[in-house]
Amino acid sequence: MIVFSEVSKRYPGGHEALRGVSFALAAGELVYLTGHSGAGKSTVLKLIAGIERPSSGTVLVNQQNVGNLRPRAIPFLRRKLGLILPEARLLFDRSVLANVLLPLQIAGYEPLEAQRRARAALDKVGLQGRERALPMTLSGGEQQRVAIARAVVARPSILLADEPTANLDEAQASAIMEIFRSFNQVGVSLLVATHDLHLAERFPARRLVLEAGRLAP
Amino acid sequence: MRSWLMVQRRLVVDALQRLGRSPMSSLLNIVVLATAMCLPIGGYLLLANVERLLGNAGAEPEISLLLAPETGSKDRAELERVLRGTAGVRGFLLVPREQALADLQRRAGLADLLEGLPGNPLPDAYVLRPASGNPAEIAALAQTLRGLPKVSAAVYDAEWTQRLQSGVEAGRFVVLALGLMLAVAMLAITFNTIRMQVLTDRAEIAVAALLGATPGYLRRPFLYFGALQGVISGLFAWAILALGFAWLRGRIATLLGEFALGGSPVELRLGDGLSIVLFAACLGWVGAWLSARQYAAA
Repeated sequence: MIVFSEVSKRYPGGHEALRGVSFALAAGELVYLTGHSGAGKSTVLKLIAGIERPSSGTVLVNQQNVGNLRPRAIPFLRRKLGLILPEARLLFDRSVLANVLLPLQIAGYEPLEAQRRARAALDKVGLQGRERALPMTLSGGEQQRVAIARAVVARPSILLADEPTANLDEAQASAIMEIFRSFNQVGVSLLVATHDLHLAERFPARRLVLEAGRLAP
Repeated sequence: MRSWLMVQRRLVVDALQRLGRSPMSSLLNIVVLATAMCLPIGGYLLLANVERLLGNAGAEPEISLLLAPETGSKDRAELERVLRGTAGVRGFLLVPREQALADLQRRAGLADLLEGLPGNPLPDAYVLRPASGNPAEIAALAQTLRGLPKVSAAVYDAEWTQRLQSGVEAGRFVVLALGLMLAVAMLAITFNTIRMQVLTDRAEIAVAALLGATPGYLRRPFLYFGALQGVISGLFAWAILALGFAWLRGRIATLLGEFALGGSPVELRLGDGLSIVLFAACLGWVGAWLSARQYAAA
C-alpha cells in the first residue's frame, strides 16, 4: 500500500525533517507513527498525500511514485486517501452534513447518493441526528468525528491521521480510536501519527518511532 | 459525463450563492460594470445616428450647376456633352426647375411661402457627382464648371457634411479608445472582486484541495461567478441603453424631421443586446480566469 525507501526531506531553509526513512504499510494494517514534536511525523503524512515532495528516495502509494506524479495527478491520489490532518480543518460556516458531503461533491457523486453516503458515514462515527449542526456547536471530540466521517465518506483504502486525539480527553480519545479500529477491521489501512504513547499502548499495533527525522531501530 | 455535469451544476449554484452572499457589494459591482459598458456603446449608437443623419443629408459630395434662365434643350444637350468629357465628373442628373420647386415645397415645409411667389424662381440645374472625394479637387472642379456656357453658378455645399463626417470619424476613434479603456477597467474590477473572494475563501480552497479538488475545480466557481456577474451587468447595460434610446427616439425623429431627412433613428436591436450580454460574460470570465489562475492556484 505505502512504501518509503530511503526517503529524505529537506525544507527550503535547510531544515532536514526526514533522513533516509524506509518502511512499508501493508493493506489492512494499522501502524502508529510516534515521536516527539518535530520528529518528522507530519512530514511523512504530507509526503504520502503529495502535499510535499521528497528531496530524495521514493514514496510509493498503491504502486504510484508520489514524488514523480505530475501536479494534475495529485488531486486524484488524494481522493483515494482519507486525510485527517490539521490543515484539512472543518469549514465552520457549513453544516456537519455539508462538510462530510464535500469530498463526494468534488468527486462528482450524484446528490442523492452523496447524501446517502454522508449520512451513513456520520452514522458510523455516532453523529446521526447532528447533520444540520454547525461544527462550532460541537465538542472537540465530535468535531474530530466529523473530520473522520469526511475522511472515510468516499471509502478510501488508506486513512492518514495526524494527532487525531490531540486536545481530547481520555474518553473521547478512546472513542476516536475505537472508530479507527472499526475501520481497520473492515480492511482500511491506517497510519496514525501521535505523540500519545498511552493511546498506542491501549490500542496495540505496530509502531514506528521517529527520532529527529530517522526511524528508530 | 453525468458526474461532470453534476459538478458544473453545483458550481453554478455556488456562484449564484456567492452573488447573493453580499448583495450590496454585488449590486454595486454590477452597476459600475453596466455603466462602464453603457458609455462606449451609447456613444457608438449616438454616432451611428449622426452618420445616418449625414447619409440622409447626402454626405457624398455634390456640385449643383444652376443654368441660366434662357437655357434651351439644345444648350442643355451641348452642356451634357461637355460634362461627359470633363475629367473629374463621375455622373450628373438634370433636375428641371419644376421638379426642384416640387421638392422644395415637399421637403422644407415652405409651401405657403413659395405659393406666394408670382412664378417659379428656381432654374434648371444639374447635380454632379465628382469622381474625387477630395474637397480641394471638388472646389477646383466647381471653379472650372462655373466658366461653362449657360452655367450661372456652380454650388459646392457639401463642406459642412464632410466636416461633420470627419468629426464622426474622430468620435468613433474616441468611442473605441473609451471602450478599450473601460474593457480593461471591467477586467480589473472583476479581477479584484475575484481576488477578494479567493482571499475570503482561502481556507475552504485549501481544504478542498486537500480533499482532492483539481485546480480547475477550484477555479471554476470563480469563473462562473465572473461570467454571471458579466451577464447580469450586460443585461443591466442593455436595459439602461434601451430605456435611454426609447427616451431619445422621439427627439431624434423630430431632429430628422426638422432637417427634412427621412428614415428612423438607429436603435438597439435584439442581436445588439445579446452581443452586449455575451461580451460582458466573456470579459467577466477572462477577468475571473486571470485572477483565479493567479490566486486560487496559489
